[in-house]
Amino acid sequence: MRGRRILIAVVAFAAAFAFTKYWDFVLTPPIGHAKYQAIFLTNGQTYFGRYLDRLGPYVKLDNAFYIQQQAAQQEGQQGDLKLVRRGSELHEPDAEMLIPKDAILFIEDLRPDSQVSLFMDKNTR
Amino acid sequence: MKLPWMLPWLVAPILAGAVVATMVDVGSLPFVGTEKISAVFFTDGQAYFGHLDDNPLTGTLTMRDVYYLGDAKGRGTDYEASVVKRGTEVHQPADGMRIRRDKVLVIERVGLTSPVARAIAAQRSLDERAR
Repeated sequence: MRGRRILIAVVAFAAAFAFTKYWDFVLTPPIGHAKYQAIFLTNGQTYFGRYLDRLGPYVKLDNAFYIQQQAAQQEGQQGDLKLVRRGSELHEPDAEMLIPKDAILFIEDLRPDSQVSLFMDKNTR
Repeated sequence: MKLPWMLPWLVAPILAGAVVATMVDVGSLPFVGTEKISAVFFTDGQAYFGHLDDNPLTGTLTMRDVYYLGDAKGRGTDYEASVVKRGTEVHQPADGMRIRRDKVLVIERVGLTSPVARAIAAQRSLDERAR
């Protein structure tokens, strides 16, 4: 009897562990259910991607993109803006990004026909 | 139907499994797969790379075996990036940096073939040779 209960306890522990890892505390996006969102951070940076709200201190951003300003060709001019997929930096990060909720100013849904959404549709892994 | 045995043998293990899963990053364990290096970007623009222990029940993250970007040009190597191991500063800190979570902007997993990962591997072999 005791051996059976220990087995049940081990299976229950393993199942709860596996389910929690699989679930990863991801909640349904709180706004809109659009495919992509824009996340504005407290330091002024903006990331675009698939925003996944989670229980706990972090949110997840899948397939992150950001806007990069290219160097100006002539002095006094502003460089062109370019949408870049996160992953080509020196540390070549994975597609998934964790962002503390404290570091977020606000989040917006992107319209499916926006230039950014269309670009991400074409360039998503 | 009362099943008092369920509390210690079923409910408690389920809760324990969920809590342990929250606190343990399986991918970061040394015996599981390849090494996992995390990149932590601070709100002030600093970036550190290393092994991250992140317990969501506390307000701090702990990073061990910490590296940060150095000046690649001054090193005379072919690497795109150069890193410095944390610990060689004037105050010679011990391994284990406790980071306030509210000062973290972003956490990412470092690609193992990235210039940063290769620079860390090179720095480690240099450090081992120097010992």
